[in-house]
Amino acid sequence: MSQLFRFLSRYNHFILFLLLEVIAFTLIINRNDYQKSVFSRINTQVLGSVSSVTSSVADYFSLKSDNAFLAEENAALQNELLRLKSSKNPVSAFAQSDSAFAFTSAKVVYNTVNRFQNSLILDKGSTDGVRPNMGVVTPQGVVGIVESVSKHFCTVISVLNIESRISGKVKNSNYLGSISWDGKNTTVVQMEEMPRHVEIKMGDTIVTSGHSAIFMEGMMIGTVIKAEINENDAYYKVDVRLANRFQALNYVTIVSFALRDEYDELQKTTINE
Amino acid sequence: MTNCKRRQSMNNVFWQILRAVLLLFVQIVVLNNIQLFGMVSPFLYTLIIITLPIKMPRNYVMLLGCLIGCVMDVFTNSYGFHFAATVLVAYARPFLMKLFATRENMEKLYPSYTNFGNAFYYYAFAMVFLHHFCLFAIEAFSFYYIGLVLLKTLCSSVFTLILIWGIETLKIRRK
Repeated sequence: MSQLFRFLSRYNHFILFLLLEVIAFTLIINRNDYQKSVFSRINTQVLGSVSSVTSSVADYFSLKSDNAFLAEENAALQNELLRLKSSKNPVSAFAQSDSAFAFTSAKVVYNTVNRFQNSLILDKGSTDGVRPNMGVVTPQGVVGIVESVSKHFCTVISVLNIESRISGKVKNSNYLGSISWDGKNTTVVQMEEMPRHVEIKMGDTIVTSGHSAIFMEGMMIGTVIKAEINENDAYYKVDVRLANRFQALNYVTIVSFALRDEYDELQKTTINE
Repeated sequence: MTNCKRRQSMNNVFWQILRAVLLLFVQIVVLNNIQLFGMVSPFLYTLIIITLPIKMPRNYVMLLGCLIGCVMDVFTNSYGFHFAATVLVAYARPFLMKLFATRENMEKLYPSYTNFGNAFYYYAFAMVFLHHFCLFAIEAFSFYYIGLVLLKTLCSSVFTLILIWGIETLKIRRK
């Protein structure tokens, strides 16, 4: 405190000077029209450029929450879109009755691509309604299938897992095949059980079939980059370039099928008999 | 302090006030209406601040400058121009005085030609220039006119200094 007083008394001239000049300039800026307009113009310029800089910096800090918000919103919009689609088209098979699907956004907290059995861990678990065998997608395409669920997390068997099997089809021609991975290239998966008579060529789009009731129909998987068949083979060897970049997954959407239990029950009784 | 001396200093204060009022009067009635070639508009009232007693506390000088500036602002229908300029020169006064006057000069009562010699005119010109520059710069309120402001400042300062020289010469002659 005494330091403060010493400081004040030492610089009292300067402080008085500053005080008087501040009063003077307040008068100048507030009471003279020309000076007022110049000041407000400069002020707007300075404020504008300063605030654009600060906001562009601050944007980075909020990037995380913004992303989360956008992912949530995306899921909500997809829900809405499906509801609208299904209300427009009431006559459709249950697996295709898209309103049976709901979306939950989740963040990838763990992700591998360099193993034979790659998997992901997401930050949504049983408390968020996630259960095994739910599909995981991004707007770009399919990611994998939920395998096990804890309270707040779930593991996902990635498409890049040699154990993974996903039912896919050629868009527009509806021929079914099974998508699996040979463990070699993390951007390319294989499509099996593609019969000889099917016309398949490079650039064809492969989407989910919707038959397994894990993904709804028509989710992007990838595009065909190679389709070969030997003379005495029954099936094509099809290579599919994945639409998703698995190295850079950040936010994903979990697809839950509302009639899952009913579907499983039915399947179980069919198999048992 | 003897009675005689006190009376003398009281006398001086009286004369100072009278002179200040007179200078302000001349400034408002006559000099404010002078506009030569759109360049020269003298502000002789700066002389009040210039010739205040050397030992006068700086804060008083500034407050007095503030008062004089306010009076000028009222009579020129501006807000804060003269206020800012006069307070600035009041604050800068000791620096400029030390810059030109010798230690011997600083022992005197008032800055004047008889006390300072030629150094008085240097000091006066520096004060006047600073004051005029501040005033014109605030008036222009933009770096765009900086050249014009400097030219106007120089012309007006020279004219004001001529007036100051006249007054100083008159004082010497009267004695």
